[in-house]
Amino acid sequence: MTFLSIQNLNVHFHTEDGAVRAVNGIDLDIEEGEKLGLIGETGCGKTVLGMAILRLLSENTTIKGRILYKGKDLLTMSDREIRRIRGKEIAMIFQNPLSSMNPVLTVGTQVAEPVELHQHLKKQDAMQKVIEMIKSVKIPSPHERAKEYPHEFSGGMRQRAMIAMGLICMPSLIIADEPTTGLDVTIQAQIVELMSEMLRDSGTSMLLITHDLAVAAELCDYIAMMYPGEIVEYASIRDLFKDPKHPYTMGFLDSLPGRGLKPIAGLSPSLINLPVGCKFHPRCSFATKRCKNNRPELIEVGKKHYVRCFLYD
Amino acid sequence: MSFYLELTKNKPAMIGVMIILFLALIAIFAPYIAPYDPLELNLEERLLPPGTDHLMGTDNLGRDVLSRVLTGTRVSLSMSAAVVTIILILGITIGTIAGYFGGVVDDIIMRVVDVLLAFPGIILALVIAGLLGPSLTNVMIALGAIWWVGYSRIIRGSVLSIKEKEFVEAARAMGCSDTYIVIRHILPNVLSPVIVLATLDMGHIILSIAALSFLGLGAQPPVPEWGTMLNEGRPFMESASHLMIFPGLMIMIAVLAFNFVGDGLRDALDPRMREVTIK
Amino acid sequence: MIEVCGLKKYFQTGGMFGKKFIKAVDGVDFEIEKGESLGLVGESGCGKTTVGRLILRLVEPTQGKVIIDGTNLFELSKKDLRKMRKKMQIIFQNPDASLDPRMRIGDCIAEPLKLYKVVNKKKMNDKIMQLIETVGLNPEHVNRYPHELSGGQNQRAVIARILAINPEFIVADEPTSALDVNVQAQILHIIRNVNEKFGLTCLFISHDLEVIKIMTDRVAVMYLGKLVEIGKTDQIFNGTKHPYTKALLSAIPVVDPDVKRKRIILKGDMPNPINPPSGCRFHTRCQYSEKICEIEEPVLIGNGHKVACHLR
Repeated sequence: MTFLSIQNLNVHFHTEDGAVRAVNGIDLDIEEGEKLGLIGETGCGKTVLGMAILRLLSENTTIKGRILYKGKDLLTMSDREIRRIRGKEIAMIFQNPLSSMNPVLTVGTQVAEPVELHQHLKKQDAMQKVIEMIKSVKIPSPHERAKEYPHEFSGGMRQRAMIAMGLICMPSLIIADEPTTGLDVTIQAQIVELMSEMLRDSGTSMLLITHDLAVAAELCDYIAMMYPGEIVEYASIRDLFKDPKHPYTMGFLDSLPGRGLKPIAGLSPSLINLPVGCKFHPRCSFATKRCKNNRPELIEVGKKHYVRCFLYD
Repeated sequence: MSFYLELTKNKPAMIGVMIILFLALIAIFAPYIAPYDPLELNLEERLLPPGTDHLMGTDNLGRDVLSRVLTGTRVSLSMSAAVVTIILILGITIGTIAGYFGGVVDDIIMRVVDVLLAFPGIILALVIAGLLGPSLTNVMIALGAIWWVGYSRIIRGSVLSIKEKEFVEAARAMGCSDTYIVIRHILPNVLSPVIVLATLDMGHIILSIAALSFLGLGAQPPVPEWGTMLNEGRPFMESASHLMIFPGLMIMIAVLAFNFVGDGLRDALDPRMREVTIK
Repeated sequence: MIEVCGLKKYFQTGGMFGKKFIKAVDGVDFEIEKGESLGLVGESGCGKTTVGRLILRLVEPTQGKVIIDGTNLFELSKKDLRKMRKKMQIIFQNPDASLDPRMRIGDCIAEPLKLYKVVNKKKMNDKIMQLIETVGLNPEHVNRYPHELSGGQNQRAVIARILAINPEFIVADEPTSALDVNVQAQILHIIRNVNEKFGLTCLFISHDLEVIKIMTDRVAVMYLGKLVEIGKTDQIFNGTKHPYTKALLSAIPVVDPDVKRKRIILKGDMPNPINPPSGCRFHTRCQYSEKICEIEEPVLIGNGHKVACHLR
């Protein structure tokens, strides 16, 4: 039984300007202990996918499909059941720690929250765990730091505090949304090392959502490339880098500064106005008539390597 | 701008707009619509209750209440508009100078503002009007002199925050002069909240003018101003209550209309701003 | 063409009791040749953004000189300064905030044209269209407002506006940090093409080393308000002599799974610029730090490739 299995997920928002089709028929599996990187540009729907797993989306969304966690469908669970899973079995680390943390509560209180909620520990026992956790994310002087407020922490420390909050209940799955964006390069390096170590030691699975392929390359085993609303390629990090199949993946790699900074012409389509047929065809140099009118399916092109492209069909 | 479209969806606000338009029309065409001369005395027809000849009855000097109310619209609305204009000009100018130039200038201006704000507005207006002598013009001066203060604070705040924005820095980097930057870049961006406030304040000002007139400091008889009419009708509160009811109603309707529109504007502005930032 | 000497900027903080100074820029010297592109690298808090502002006199210095074509920028009168501004322009980091939200794109671009009377009214439209084309926007974008366009499109509009008055020197302050990877590539291309085509001198500020590598001829590395290393881009990337630069370079994440890189992890966080460490500012996090590093501040020395380190 797959640890986390997302099956034919569709998430649509209804707005004045039309339906925002953030997620369109996505299938994704994560095995136990596996780390999957979900890569995509801003506005492709990756954060929506992450939030959908924990049912954190607002009321005006239409969600269809199944998200099976250890065999149970998260989407049909009662509120009580899903709350028991949030923070305890599946935890989320949000981007932008400064706005994701409550500015009027001390960091210690906030890191303690998941433990107090799920493990029903008394204040002192909870604080004990909190100090241990803060120590393990390598924040110096944990006792003093726990009594400070988020704005007194530096960006890197805040991110560590968020990681501490996420991992304190020892969840089986961590969803990390852009954990290194906005941080300085050297601090980013620290955070990536830290996450790498902690995940390795605990065997926790992870869904890493980011636009930074390099960070995902360091932390993940498999990569899913997302293009507005759908997965266009899925492969191990090695296969993706050495043998990218989808034109978007190839273009994405080429646009990285380290590879010559060759941009893909045009812009990503808006989620309200998606093109017919293959979503990438307006920008694809290999596009054919078939691509304009038909949407390709995800097919296997190698061992655990899938592409959504007519070039291989 | 498209946010005015947003406003049209707000029912109370649209009702308010229609009422205001209606009142404005009355104000403009009052002399033609009024059935009688508002100042004409007719001592034989004093204190008549509302009837077919006089739809709102007559007052203690036989004057037609309806005609006086209609003419009063002209007085109240135009005076309020004049006061709001003075307030806006003073408030925006002073607030912008304080916010943009900062330093000593800002300090001095803000201290003056603080002192003025410490006084209860109406009392201050009373004092000034009292000192200058009772007349409608003096009430206008009094209100104008104290009401601009709140606006200057708001404008100053907005200017302070806009001033730091990158597009202002870009304008400076381009070589634009300070005056140009203030007029072309800063003002258009700070005016929106002020428009809302001014609309809401129209109601308050109408009330204040009426209140001061009621107290005897504003419009002097025989000028038909709603507040003055209320004052004149006071002795007849029980015997001929219509003398107070009709002007009172007019005040209420006018103020309510402006409040609805002001609230609607505020609602239309806020979500618009929110919508613009979520991309 | 541009010479920066002993540039300092201290920001005052702290209320009535105990004035403190944030030493954002604490003595910086460098030169930029005409037509050259100098990169300024460092992490947040190192002062590079402040240097960018100072070099255009958008901020007044505490001390120091910026000499452009023989004239000291800080000695100019307000009027002469405005005339000078025509020569030098800046691209900011956040494209959406760089444009007046109440002005259409076409008007934004027309603004400098009108201000400096570059073209008369009849030719205005043509000139705007020409600029639009240079940066890769479409004619219909002229009538849109900034919030209706994407970050990348707005940044193009910013570049078009700058080009309108034919500057000689531009400061690019993290022009693509707020943009997606792919859009970043597009914008950087435009900047590079424009620099080449018009022979512009450029100060390119960024924290992204990979971008710097491609966009610059020479690089200067800043740490806590001071320059620690400066040299040709090639020299810095392939033969750096300063421990901080080494750490920076090693911290760049790499996609290639075969590249096994030894990362240098720096201890701790950036010190507070109000109280920079004694001696060499980097010594508190440096793995090679010795006694002398705590006591004496190293000077930037070298021939072409200069370093500020006792252990060169």
